[in-house]
Amino acid sequence: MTSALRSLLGGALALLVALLVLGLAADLLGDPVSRQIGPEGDAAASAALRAALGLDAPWLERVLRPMLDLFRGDLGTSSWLRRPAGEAVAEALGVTLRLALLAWPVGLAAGAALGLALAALPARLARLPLLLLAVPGFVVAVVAVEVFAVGLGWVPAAGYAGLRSLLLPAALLAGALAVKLALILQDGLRAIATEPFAIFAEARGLSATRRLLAYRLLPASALLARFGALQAGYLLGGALVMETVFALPGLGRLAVLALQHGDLPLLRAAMLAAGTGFLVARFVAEAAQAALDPRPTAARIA
Amino acid sequence: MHLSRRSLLLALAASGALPRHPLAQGAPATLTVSQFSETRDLSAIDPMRSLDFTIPTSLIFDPLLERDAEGHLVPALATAWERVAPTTWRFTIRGDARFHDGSLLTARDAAATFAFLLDPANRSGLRLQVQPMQRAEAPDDTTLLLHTSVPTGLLPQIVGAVPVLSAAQLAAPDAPFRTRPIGSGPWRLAAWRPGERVELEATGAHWAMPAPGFGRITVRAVPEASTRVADLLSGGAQIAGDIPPGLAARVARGARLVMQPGARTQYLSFWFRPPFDDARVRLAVHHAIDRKALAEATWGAFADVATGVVPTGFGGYTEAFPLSDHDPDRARALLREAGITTPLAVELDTPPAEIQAAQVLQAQLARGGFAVRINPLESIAAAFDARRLAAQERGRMFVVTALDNHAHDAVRPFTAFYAENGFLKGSMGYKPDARMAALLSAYMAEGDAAARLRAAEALMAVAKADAPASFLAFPKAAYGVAAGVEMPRTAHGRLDFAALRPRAA
Repeated sequence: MTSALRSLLGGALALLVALLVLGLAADLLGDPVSRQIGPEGDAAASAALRAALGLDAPWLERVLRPMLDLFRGDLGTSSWLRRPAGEAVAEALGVTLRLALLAWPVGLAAGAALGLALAALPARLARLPLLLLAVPGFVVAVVAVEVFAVGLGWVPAAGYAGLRSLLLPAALLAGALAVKLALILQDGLRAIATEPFAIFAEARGLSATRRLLAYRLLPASALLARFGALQAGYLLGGALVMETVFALPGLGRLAVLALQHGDLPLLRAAMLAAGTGFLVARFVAEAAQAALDPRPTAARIA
Repeated sequence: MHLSRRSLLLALAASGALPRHPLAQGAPATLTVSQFSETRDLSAIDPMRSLDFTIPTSLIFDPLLERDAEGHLVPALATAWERVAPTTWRFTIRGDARFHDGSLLTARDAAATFAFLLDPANRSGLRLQVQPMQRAEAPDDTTLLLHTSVPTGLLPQIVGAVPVLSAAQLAAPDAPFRTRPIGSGPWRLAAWRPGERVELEATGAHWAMPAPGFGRITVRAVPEASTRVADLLSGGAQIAGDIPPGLAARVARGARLVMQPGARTQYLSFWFRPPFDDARVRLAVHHAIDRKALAEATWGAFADVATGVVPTGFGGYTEAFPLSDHDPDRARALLREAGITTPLAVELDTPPAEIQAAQVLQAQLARGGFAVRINPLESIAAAFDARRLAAQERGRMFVVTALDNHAHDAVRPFTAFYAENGFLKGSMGYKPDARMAALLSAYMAEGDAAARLRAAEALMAVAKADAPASFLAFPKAAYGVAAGVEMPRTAHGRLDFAALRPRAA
């Protein structure tokens, strides 16, 4: 737990540094004034926007002020949306969270089941699902829309209108998560099977079920927790392909919008939300990993 | 082999053998539209941002003037208009239009709208789109006087599409018109989910349309074209916009394809640093491009090849760029004349939607003596990013589809490309031929259509030799429309919601 907490604090510091770097490198994102006003904006309107965005301020102030505001809980105003950046991100995060909450547990459960099944197969056959990962997510999504929305009419093809509109994108995300997790898990299970404690359990004549649950799956569950948490962090960052194909107003699309319009406050807020989600997920994973893995660690022995 | 019902359904659906949803089962109570170019991303619905954002502005607000099916200006909020002085137009504002809050719309609201958009501090994208507008005044409730900086015979075409906002909303401190707009149009805003959808409901009290064809309208911003088509074919939407040529056959499987004249222009222009500061090099680019082949390869039947700065039928059209301009040998000769060794290495900035066109251009320009490297950009906005461009020592080309022409007249490209305060000069460093300012003023001032056409020809003779831009194509507005919706032909270049009607199966 201490290690997980240390990791969380380290991650939070890294996120703050990343946000600071974003401010330092803001110029590389392009010119927000010309991107937002467009080529037909005149000089007077550009000057007005430049002043409104605080771009006339000294460089150091432009970098540091948003960080100070951040500590006061002020994420600034989105220059493109002309509304509080935190408010826009909270709305998008709501969609992304719902999608992640549907996709993640299903993907995790399916991945664990598939991983166990694959571990029982010969190693060469067990790697076949790898081929599924070679198909671009965009292609899978478009075909799935054609089948389940157009052909069968089970789900809407586009837009966000409650739970039903999230079922298909969530299922696709869960499917991708399950395949990745299963491949990792079956590798882990095979590796654990060669460890001395597993061989010892077999030599003791323990039942196959007990060997599977206590001596293989329990140690592998730490792996499950770690990978699952990382994937949760990825989902909280916004699954851009799914959000684009299904026209879902999630965090990924919002971040791209911010990037296209050079909207630094919005990008900063989106990055903060995604980064925080990732850190929390990692913290939970590391805490869970420590609790789940029964194998002795240096700390436990001491 | 055993097939479950579910797997059989899946297989049939995937093969296309499964019957589609019966789209024609009665007219939908709510019209749902899956769109993108006319909504942009629906992250903003500010009617003062740009005339190019037509949804939901065109539903919530009334413009001064509208266009009929042939593209002619007809009365809307303005019942009459006349030029009372070389730089002054008088519009008579109708007395029976009301805002959605019940207040009467008067000429003072129209004057306040123009005053707002002309004030640089308000950063309205309409400011340059209505040039040479200078000032507006309303001496009484029905009279709107619009003053221009130079004599302007075309002002009704230029300002006709401007939506009229409530003076009270414009003056309110938190700018409610940006997020909770109150207009006088046939529909009021019922809900807006930023980045996703707008929902509108008929007011039932519009001066011209108390009972529009559809009482409730939902417009969704769907960026992916294949999803828009899926939305249509699954019955989720009754109209899908921006159908690319490659998806036409798919649309035809369960709906019909309707093509209207478009409002946008595909063109190629420059960052005017060497070698593109030399008109001979720019002209060489123009002669190297085979516009007909380019349009066929990228748009198929979904665009008209550009032979002028506007499509045929628009005001001021002259055949300035006949297809016989395509002459790679002439392009090479021009480069030699400019003292350039071929192949001339150049970069072509390309937003995502233009990748296919850029590849065709790359091949065509190679035959004219250019070695083009395609530089993919993440958006159109990036093509005009001042900071990015300023870092470029050498000139470069860009290709975009933009420049919505609400005026339906050559005045739009003329002022954007050739004017002293046009965007090519202001944003891209173009130095227009000195003769063009006077020729453009002559065109703008002329009230008589025939005389204006002669002025357009004179302007284009100079502009063509200076070649600041190559006009490539005029894409059509292509919609997939479900059987339950009647969509009459319009000349708007955008969805005309007022003309849409439910259609019996």
